[in-house]
This record gives sequence, C-alpha cells and structure tokens, in this order.
Amino acid sequence: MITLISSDKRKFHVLEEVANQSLTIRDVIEDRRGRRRADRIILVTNINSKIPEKVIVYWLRHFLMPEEIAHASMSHKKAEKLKKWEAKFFDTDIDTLNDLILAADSLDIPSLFDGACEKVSDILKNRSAEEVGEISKIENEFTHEEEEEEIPSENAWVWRNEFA
Amino acid sequence: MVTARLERDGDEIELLSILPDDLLIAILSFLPTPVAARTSVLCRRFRYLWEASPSLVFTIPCRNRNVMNFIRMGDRAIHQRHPSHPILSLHLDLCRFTPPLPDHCIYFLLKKAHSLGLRHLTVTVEGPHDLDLQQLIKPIFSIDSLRSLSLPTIRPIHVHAPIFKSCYAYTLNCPKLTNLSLRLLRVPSFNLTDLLPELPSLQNFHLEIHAIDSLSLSSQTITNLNLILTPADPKFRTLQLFLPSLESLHFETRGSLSVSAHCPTPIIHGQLPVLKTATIILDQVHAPDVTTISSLFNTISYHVQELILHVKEEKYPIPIPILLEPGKDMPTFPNLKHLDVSLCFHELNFEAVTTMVRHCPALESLKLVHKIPKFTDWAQGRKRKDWRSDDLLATVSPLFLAAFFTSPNRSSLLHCLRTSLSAFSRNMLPEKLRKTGKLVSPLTKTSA
Repeated sequence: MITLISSDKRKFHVLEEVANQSLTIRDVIEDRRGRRRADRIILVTNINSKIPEKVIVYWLRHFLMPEEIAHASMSHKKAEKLKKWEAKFFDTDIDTLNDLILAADSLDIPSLFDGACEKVSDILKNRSAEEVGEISKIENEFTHEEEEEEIPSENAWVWRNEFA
Repeated sequence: MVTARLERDGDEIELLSILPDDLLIAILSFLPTPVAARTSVLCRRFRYLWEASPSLVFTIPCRNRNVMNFIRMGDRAIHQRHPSHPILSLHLDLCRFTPPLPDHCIYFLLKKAHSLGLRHLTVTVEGPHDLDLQQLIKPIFSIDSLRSLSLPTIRPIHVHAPIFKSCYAYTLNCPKLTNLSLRLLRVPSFNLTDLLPELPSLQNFHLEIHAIDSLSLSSQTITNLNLILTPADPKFRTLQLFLPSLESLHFETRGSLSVSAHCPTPIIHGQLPVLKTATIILDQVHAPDVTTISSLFNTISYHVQELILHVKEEKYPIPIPILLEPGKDMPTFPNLKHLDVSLCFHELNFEAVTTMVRHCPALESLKLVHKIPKFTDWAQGRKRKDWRSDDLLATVSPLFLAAFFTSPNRSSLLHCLRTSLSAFSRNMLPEKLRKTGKLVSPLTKTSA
C-alpha cells in the first residue's frame, strides 16, 4: 500500500499494483524498495485532491483490465464496454481535463494522457477560432492588421480547405 | 506555470494556456493538421505552435494558387523544424486535380522528414494522378526510421521496368519497417520478389494486387498477411506462400478466380507452419474455382486453428460445389477449433461442410450462417427450390446427425453445438437432442 498526498494535503491510499500504472510512481517505488514505511508516501504537489480521485478511478478500471491482455484477447463486447466507460470518464469540463493532462504527464500514465489529449482535441475540433478562444479563455493579443492580413495569408491553404 | 495555476481566481484563468508547450503540442497532434493550424490565430503563443506537432496531415490543394501557399507552409512546418521536435507521422493526401508539383517539392519534403526520424508515412492519391510515384519510391524506401508505410496504387510505366529496384542500383533501406500496405495494379510479381527480402522486420503486410502472373510471397518475418487478390490475367497460374512465421491470413478475392472460362484457375500452395487463424472471403465464385479453393484448403488445413469462410454473393445459375472438388477428398483439419462458415447451404455445399466437420476432430465451436442467394433476372432458369432452405431442413438434419455420430470427438462437438450456433438453436438444441435424438437444423436464415 502506498500513500499519495495531494497539494491540498489530502491522503490517498492505493495498492502498489494499481499505482504501478504510473511509470513515475513505479520508478519511485523501485528506487525506495526495502526502505522504511514512511518512504512509501509520495507527495503529488501540483494537483489538487479532485484529480487523484479521478486518476485512481481510472487506474482501478484499467487495473481490472490490463492493457496487454486487453489487446490480445479482449472480446469485442468488453472492448466496447471499456470504450463507453472511457467516453463517460473523459466527459468533463476542459478545466478538469487540463488537470488530468498535467497529472498524467507528471505521473507518466501514457493511456490517460492520450485519452485526455484526444478529448481536448475533440472539443476544439470543428470550431472556429473565436469559439476556441472563448472555450479556452485565450485572450486575443494580435493587432488588427495581424489578425486580418498576415496570419490568414500565412496559412492560406488551411482556410480554403474546409474540413468541418 | 503550474504553480500559477493554484493561485487562480475566478474568471481570469486561461484554461489551455496553463499547459506547457509540449503538452499543448500533444493536444494539437490529435487534431487534423488544418484545424491545428487554425489555432495560429488564437494568440501569439499559438501562432507557430502547431508547426511542431509530431503528426502532420497535408492535403495538397487543388488549385495552383494554393499550391504555393502549401509549399510555403510545408517549408515552415517541415524544413525549418527544430530537430528537438521530431516528426513521427506524416500523411500526404494528393488530390486528383493537383497541378503538377515541382518534382523536388515532395522529394525534399521526404528527405527532410527522413532526417527528422519519420516513423509512419501514408501517401494517398485520389483518382488518377500525374505525380510520378516511381520517383518517390527511392526517397521513401531509404527512410531508415520508418515503422509503417502505406502507399497508393502503383502502376508500372513499363511492364518490364522494375519498380523497387531501379537500374541505378540503389538499395532499399528500411530495417525497422513492420507495417506495409501496398496496392499494385498490374504490376509484374518479380517486383515483390525484389522487395520482400529487403525488409528484415516486416510483420504486417497488406497487399492488394491485380495479379497478372504467378505470384510468390516468401518472407521469414511476416506474421499477418492481408491478401486481396484480383486475378487479372490468364498467366496467373500459381500463388505460392512461403511464410514460416505467418500466424494470421486474410485472403480475399475480388471477382472470380478464373479469368476466362477456358483457362485453368490458379493453384495455391506453400508452407505456413505456424498459421493460427485464416479468414477466407470469396466473391463471385464460378464452377472452376473449386480447384483453387480446395488447393487453398490443402495448404492451410494442417495447422489452422480458426477458420472463417465467407462466400459473399453467389452469381451462378445452378447450385455448384464450392468447397469440395467432386471425386476428391476433403483434407483433415487436425487442429481446427473454431469454424465459421457463411454461404448458401444448398445440398452440395452442405455435404462439403458436413465432411469438413467430420474431418475436424478438435472442433470446439461452430457457426453456420445460411445466405439465400438473390433471385434476379440474371439468374433465369434457376430452380428456386434448389436453393430453398426449407428443403434444407429435410436434408440438413440427417447429414448433420451423421456428422455428429461419426465424429470421434462427439462430446466436444455436442459442446460446440450447445454453446455456439445460433440463438435459435442454443435454447432448444440440447434438450431436443437428448429427448428425441433428432436435431433441429442449426442454420439460421439470413438473406444474402
């Protein structure tokens, strides 16, 4: 059993086998193997308590169905089920997704990282630049000339090919 | 950047901007490139961000004016790319009406991608195209970091000119290539004989071929073969498969195997010692094709564990044997565990399948789907009753019972009947079988 501590000092106890899905944690545990029990506590500084909860839920789901086995012999039905579950799991606001991406990146969980990135890109897909700016609250800092002339001509090919 | 995240207040946060650049690039790499490129208008930080995305899809535009724009953009996204942002996957989509690009354009694009460690390359061409693929073959096959490659249809300019080995004697250099997808249109088969030995780690091979002469595939490493075959010339006589590592074979035909009524159909033979699953999809079977099919069965029968056999649509005027050559014996399938057959079970076919089941001592599951052929004007003179599955019920049951009682491995066959088959028989089969000793037809009716 190892303990994760989030930035707002909440503790999460996780089975080692489950947490091993994070390559970072696995390395840390491997480093500290054979040492005192206190060393089994891992501080996760840059994420708040909501995210470890989600990450652990994700781990548990995937722990029940490890990826290698999943690919080799998972029946079609189970794969569908997992897909549905993942779609539901990632169906949150962009804020949470950002935190998930950050967590997945620092904890090194490739499948979670890919899933969250894909979901964010899905949100951005098929939207105009203004909408994207609005969703992600990015302030437009271009000057008027830049916006009207320079940039569209820079990537003119992109604007004339309608993908949506 | 991350610590700033914790001191946020209210609406002032910029959601995406808290992510560091490399994570944003990861998100952008999931977007189609044109959409990713449109983010350049968001703010200064995003302006050149998409150009570092490791996966790029370029649809080369149709109009001349746009081609120059494209070249400028490809220049920035690939030629001026910093080596710390490797390009992993590149998809070039060439449209039908693309004006002839400057020859060097794509050539240098590929050269640069080569130096950036390109792993996955897909080139697609929509419709007929002027672009000379011959010229691209050389730069493509010299990208030594390539893992997977998919090319559009290749037609030879001169029938006798080799494609993969030019007279300039360059060597193919793709030591890591594992996935290859090729479409060859009337390409002489010696080109494949040139190509395959040069790819030492090829595992998955997808080949669509219009065969014009005898074809021979041999490779030590291929584990998955997807072969879509269109016989296009009477000279196509034999298909040889020497693939000692092949585990899964997907064999599909487009059009009849016999090119004309008078020429003999091709014979398949080869060595597939570790074959596990075979999927065979046949299209428009004619009477002579049965020779080819039984030669295919002979090739795969000894090792195959799972066999899926689908006959797509039957366009022959009278019921003909598809699986079993008259007067010849069905090979034994000693290791076959799963059998899935979907065709029209008229009497001849059903007899063949029964024999097949009888020759499968290790069978564990069985799925049979009956397809009723379409009755169109084309099939005038067909006797409808020859095809009907009602008659089948009468013929089927005794035959199947025969298979059941002569099978040496009766319990496993019973198990397979009990577990697989159709929903229809799943419910009532075991009891009926036990009580009355009669068997309900295992065939489900689905229209073709």
